[in-house]
Amino acid sequence: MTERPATPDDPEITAAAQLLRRIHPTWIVPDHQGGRKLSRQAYQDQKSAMSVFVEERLEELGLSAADVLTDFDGYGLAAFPASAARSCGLRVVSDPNEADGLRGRAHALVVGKKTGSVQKALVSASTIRVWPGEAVSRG
Amino acid sequence: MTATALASSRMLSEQDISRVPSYGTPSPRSLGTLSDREIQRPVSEASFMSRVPATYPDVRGQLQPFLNLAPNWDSYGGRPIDPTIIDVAQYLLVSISESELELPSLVPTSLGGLSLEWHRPTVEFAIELEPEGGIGQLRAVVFFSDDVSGEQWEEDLSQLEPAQLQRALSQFH
Repeated sequence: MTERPATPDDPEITAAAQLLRRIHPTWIVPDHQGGRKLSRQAYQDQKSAMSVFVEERLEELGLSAADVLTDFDGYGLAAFPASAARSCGLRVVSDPNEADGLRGRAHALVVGKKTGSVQKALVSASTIRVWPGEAVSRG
Repeated sequence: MTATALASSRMLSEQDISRVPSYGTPSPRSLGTLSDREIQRPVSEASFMSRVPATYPDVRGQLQPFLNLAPNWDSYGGRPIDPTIIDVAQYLLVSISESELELPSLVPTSLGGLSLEWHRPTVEFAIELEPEGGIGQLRAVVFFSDDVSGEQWEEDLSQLEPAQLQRALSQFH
């Protein structure tokens, strides 16, 4: 994964498009009042390019969000709209990954510096589709 | 990394803080008990465990799993946690164990670091330890966010005012 400062935002990924990110179990933390939260570390990246899958593209391929977790037992899945990333000054860039099979065609990168406040904004915009360790509902 | 701010929080004694090692940029100031040679040597699990006081089983239990994270542990090319980070976290956790603070959640970072995080439903305080530069060097960044008041800041630990740190930590007794 390399930094792509010159890569423009992809307008074909709509503002409402849900971007899906696998969640390692350690990125879920207790809030000490009976609940649990997504840590900002879920949106840490290397070289300012964060891997996601575009849900609407998965669906065009006949796949679902659950397919992001295939071969990743125990992981969770978070989703946030592309508009949330763009409102933080980040770019959403298509990045098909043929090595990852059919779902790899829906792969994208969220490009730009993820400061603590940017990570926090992404967490606030996120919903947890699958909590780590939960059974994945397919179909 | 400097521990003076933590010391000034009055939740940790100066003796506790004297055990916290200080590594690398941006403000190298040796407060620690580890030699440069120790810092540059990869820490095996056995040597690490031998340095954790036996009276702190919670610290042992919390840190041990992070020694075993393999490359790509997060499925996004995540790096194994830097042994120096584990060392610093160990000292911080031992000190926190002896203070009035609750123990933080430990969250590995994709960059090979470790984040010590205190959470409430609308509040977060974190000390992020990230490797930086050469072997044994790290950066410590503090993040605070309160959704209700709207207060949010991010500072290098070495630049943080003790009063600011104390105020943020006061919510996590």
